Amino acid sequence: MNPRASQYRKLLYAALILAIFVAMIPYSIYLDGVKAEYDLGEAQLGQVDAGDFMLNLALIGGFRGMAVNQLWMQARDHQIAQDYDQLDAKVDLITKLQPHYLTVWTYQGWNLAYNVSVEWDDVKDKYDWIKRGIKFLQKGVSKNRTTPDLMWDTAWTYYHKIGYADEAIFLRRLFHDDIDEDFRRYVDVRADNVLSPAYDDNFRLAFGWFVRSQHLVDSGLNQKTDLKAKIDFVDPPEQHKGKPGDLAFHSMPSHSLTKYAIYLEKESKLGIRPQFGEVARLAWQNALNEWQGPGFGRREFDAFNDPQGNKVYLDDYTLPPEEFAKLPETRRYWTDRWATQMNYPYWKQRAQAEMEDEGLKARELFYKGRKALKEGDFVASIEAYAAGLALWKELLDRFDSFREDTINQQDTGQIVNYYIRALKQDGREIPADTPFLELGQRYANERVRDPFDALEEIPDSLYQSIQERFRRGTSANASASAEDTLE
Amino acid sequence: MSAPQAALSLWMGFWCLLAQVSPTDPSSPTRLVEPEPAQAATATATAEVAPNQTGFAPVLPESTPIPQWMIVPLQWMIVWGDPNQTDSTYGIWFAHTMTWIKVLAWLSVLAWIVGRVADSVRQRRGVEWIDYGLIAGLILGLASIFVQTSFETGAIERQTLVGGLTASSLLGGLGIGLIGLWVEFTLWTTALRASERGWAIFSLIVLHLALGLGFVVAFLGSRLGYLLPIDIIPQGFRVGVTYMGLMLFVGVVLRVLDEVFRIRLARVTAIAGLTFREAARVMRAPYVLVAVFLVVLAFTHYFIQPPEELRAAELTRRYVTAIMVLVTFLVCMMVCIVLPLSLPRDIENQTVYTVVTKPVRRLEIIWGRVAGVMAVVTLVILFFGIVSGVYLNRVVSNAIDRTEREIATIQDTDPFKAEKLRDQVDELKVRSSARVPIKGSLRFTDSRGNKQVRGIDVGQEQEKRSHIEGATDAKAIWVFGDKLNDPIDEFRRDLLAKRGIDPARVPVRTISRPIPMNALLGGNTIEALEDRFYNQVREINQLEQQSRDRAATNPTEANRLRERANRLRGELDALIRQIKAIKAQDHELLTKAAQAEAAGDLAAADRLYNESARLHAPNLTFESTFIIYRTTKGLSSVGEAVLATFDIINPNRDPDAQAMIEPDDPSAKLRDRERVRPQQRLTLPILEYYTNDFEVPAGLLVGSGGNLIVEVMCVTPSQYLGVSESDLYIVQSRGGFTENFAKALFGIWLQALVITCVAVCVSSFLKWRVALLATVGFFLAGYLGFGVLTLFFEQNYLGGGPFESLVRLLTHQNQISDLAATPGVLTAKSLDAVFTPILATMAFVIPNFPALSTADLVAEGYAIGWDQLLLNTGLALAYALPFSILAYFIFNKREVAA
Repeated sequence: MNPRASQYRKLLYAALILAIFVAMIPYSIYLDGVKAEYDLGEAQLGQVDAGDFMLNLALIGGFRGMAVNQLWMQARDHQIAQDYDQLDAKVDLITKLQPHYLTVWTYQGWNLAYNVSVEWDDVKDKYDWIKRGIKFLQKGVSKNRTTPDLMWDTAWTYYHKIGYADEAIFLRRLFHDDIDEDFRRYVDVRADNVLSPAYDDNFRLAFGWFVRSQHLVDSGLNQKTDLKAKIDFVDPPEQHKGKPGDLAFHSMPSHSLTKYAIYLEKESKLGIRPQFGEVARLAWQNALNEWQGPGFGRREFDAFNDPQGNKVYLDDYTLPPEEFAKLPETRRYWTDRWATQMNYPYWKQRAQAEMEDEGLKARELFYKGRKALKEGDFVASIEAYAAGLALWKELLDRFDSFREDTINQQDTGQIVNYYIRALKQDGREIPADTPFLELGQRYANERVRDPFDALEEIPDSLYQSIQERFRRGTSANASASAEDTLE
Repeated sequence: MSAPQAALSLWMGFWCLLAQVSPTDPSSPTRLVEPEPAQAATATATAEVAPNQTGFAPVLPESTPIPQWMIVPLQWMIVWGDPNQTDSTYGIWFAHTMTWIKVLAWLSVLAWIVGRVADSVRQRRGVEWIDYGLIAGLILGLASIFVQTSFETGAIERQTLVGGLTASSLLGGLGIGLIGLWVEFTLWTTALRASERGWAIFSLIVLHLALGLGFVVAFLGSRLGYLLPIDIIPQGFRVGVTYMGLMLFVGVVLRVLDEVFRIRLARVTAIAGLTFREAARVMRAPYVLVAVFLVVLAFTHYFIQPPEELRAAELTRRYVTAIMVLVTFLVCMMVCIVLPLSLPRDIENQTVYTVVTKPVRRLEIIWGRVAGVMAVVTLVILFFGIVSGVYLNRVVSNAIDRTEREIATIQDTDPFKAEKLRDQVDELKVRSSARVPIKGSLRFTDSRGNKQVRGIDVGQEQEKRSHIEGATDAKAIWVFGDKLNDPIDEFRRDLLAKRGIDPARVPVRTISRPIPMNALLGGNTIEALEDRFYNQVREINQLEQQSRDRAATNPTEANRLRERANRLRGELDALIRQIKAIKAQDHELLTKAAQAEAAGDLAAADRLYNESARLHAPNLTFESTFIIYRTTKGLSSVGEAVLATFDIINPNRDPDAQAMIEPDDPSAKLRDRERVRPQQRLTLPILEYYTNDFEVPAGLLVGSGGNLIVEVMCVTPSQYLGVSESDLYIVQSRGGFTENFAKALFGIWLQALVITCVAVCVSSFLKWRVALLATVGFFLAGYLGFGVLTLFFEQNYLGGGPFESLVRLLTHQNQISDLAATPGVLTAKSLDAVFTPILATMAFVIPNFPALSTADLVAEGYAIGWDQLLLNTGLALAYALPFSILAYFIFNKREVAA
């Protein structure tokens, strides 16, 4: 063959290849537009990083699923073999391969924070794993910005796993001391998405994340409302949280702030003094605002059979009776139903009551009384309890919903019983005019230790030693000392 | 086609037999007593080891109709002939080699039959009448399997025809008979047509005699109780085939040895050089490999998530494992591609003529090629080793530096975290070293103090560790020493003794876990001298005891022993003086140090203390990794640690001897440093999933003769401590990472050697495309599938073989429920019956690559011992040699030089 002709042909091929490439440019621009329009591009879902990209390149297409299946089984095997670090590494690879598979994030985030953490004996290790679970969920959020579920899961783990664990007093202390400030900040969606200051309480963080999830649902971004045509997903991403009428979902920010205020006034972090006065008042004020604000109390909820299709507000339930009566019957019915379902009047009144001067002072006195009782200073304890209970009586007379609620009655009964114990220790008679004496008697046999108060959780005899051990820690290394030697 | 089928029938007979030897079979002649169901597994597993006079055979039935002198030779005949009896049950030290030879023997038979049959078929024109017999035999064989499967699944209710004869066995017998006839016919016709007809017929006759011998041995063996008297024919067949194989194997060995002696190194080197040049220059394989390696290494941090700050110690594990996997795959893939591309293409392009027409032997071509490729592999692994070694070193030391800097900064602000990080730095240093652990043998006592083989099962999914209960007498006891009783055997003996069985009749194997005293105590330390002293005293006592025992029977011998004892006693004084002197020196140093300290001269005190420390052996370091199972969060409060006591006991120190070397100065007696008691107790909080370590003075070991007992108890009530045997060990030394890493790389080299020989073998008779696929297939099957093949071999799977499993998968059925006997299920089960034995056989052919890999040890920071390295080399050669020799025979048979 003529070498020249062959060369020409090669050039022609090169030119053709180039031409096809050039012709593809406008088409790919058009495709990008369509992708953006239908919200199909990966970048629209969340952050894309190089590791995911490289791995997906290495395992193109369908093999990804097989690889993930294999990795999932390996991860499970590692968990059974109690090799949690390898589990963590495998899970990380899975999310690199399928970063938009929400169930993986939800399940493994929960798995790390709840199941793996309990396998470790030292509280600090537990805290570390809970933190890893939360961070894992946060990474999931950063890669899937349009799902409220993962945000809610993050919030829930801050709220429930740190705040409600058996070891909560330790975990909250560790959170309080965590020098990883990023872990103690959230994106404040109510203030233009700025980063919040670093809070020292997990319930504040839970609040921030609950609000973020709520905000996403409210903004409708998760619904993909701007799509022109409905897309039939083969495997539609399912949203579990924040469906219309999900009252519990919307109540969580208020609950978080309330828990924050409640535990501010107790030694709910080992060795950290509780706070009262203006700090506590502000906390209760915030909680109250959240309960009765647009986030919950003034949020529209469905009144299903209302002829006009009107919505109801939970806060209407706390209107004066005559005003409440003016509402149409269907709205009254649904308001009543939703508000009682959420125990709304109690929480609202509790916030209102606790932020009063008497409430704040009484809580401080109760704390002093309890502490004095623990330290054996019965006289001081009796004084504090007597003064506190008097204030408490005065306060509760004004807030009937709060007073009549079982949670409060049990709490008050407990306080009365501590008072009685102090009196007995000091060899005194119980004054007949002691307020709430009947509550004390009612709950005398139902003594529950509040697991979220270090003063109650840890027996007096162990208080010092446990705190000391917690501060010093257990090291993995030891050396035989002379006093260990036995004959 | 016939040969695999024949092999299959053999294997099927083998499996049928295996199925009949179930541990609950009451007809089993090796049964001693009816064991408890719970102990059945343990008891029957060891029931066959009761020794008689020869030391390795099972318990004999009462009467034996065979002359006494025949027993021992017959035992050996059976052990060599029965493929079932190939493990080390009888305590034969070369049992593994024997297994290997038996596998090769069977492969030799297979290869020989295939070779002969292939020759015969090649010479034939078209199909002969006898071939219809083969087809009929195959159909009958399949029909037999189908009928048997249908019967087992309940599709047909009865298949018994006359007496004990079943339809399936009739069909199977006919099928096997026809196939056998075909094979025999083919073999004989080939032999008759062969150029050396006499020799061919002679060897055929000899092989048939070997087969016949198998039947005789099986018959005698069943009379003697070594084999089951149920199926003499299949057993005889198996034994006979092994004898045939052994004969062929000897032939092969002789021929290969003959060839080996004719090999000239120069020619092998020349071929190797050519191969090297071809791989390196023509294919540029090493350069491609290096490029891929460097690219992947540059992006490793994209694939491997660096561990969280608080688990920094995970770093080595993740990176070492990843790099080892990468190097293994790259190197082996290179071999998989380079070799099949070179040899078959040489043959196809006829370039191989230029070599084979030269006076070069075929084995030289094969081994030369292997050597050439291995030279490339060696260079590549060296390069990878250096680069990744530097890379790992940088990554790890960076991590250590970074963590230490952080500890320094947060020391005051966050002491919790600083402490955690310090643990991580320690762990990281440990994992990037090469620990040599001294392991003990674990046994338990339960909460009542009774001996147990296991602790309590707390219901974890994997019962890797068993548990001891807190605040009870339950103990986990690690025993170190020579000739320890196997705890399971000991337990069994005690159990049987309670049922009236004479303990002397129950064999108890021993295990050896001695403490290497010299390595731990050093040469000239106080402890080493004292230990020598105790050993000498022990020897003297033994000699005197022996002398007293023989005083009556053999007075001269007794005198001689007493004299030796006296001579040793004479030397003892010098030793005592030496010990006292060195102790006095130590005491003086300590006194001076104390004075210096009192005077405020800390530098001098330090120097003196160090000098004193040099006179002593370093402390013993124990490491433990226990887990905790809590039944309460804490007895009185959350946050309470679980405590364990460690009692370290020296059981052997002689108190009388100890009095002899007590220092003269009574005040010194009080100092623990100088007089360590033979028992020490430590109470420590247990930290889960960390390596807890503690130290005890080396003086504790003195006079132990290599024996030590470590008793672990859980102190905290209502909590459990989970332990396994490898959870507690003494650290003998901490070697360097580099040497260990190099040893792991050698493991990869061995894997490459095996795959090279496999590649040479398959490329000697396949076209390059097929050879390439076959080599890759071998590699992946060995690397990923060996475990699965082993399951097939052990018949240790749920839900049937591959076909039945497929049916279950597609119909969403679980692994346990019975499948309805539909035609599909019957077909699947029948196919399984055909293919499962073939897959099981593959466990002997597919190389066990994971066993050659020692990457995990390096990643965990344990030293790879030289013994293990030697063992792995042996294993690699056990695969590499047969493959390369098979390649030689095939290559020889091919008419490349015609």
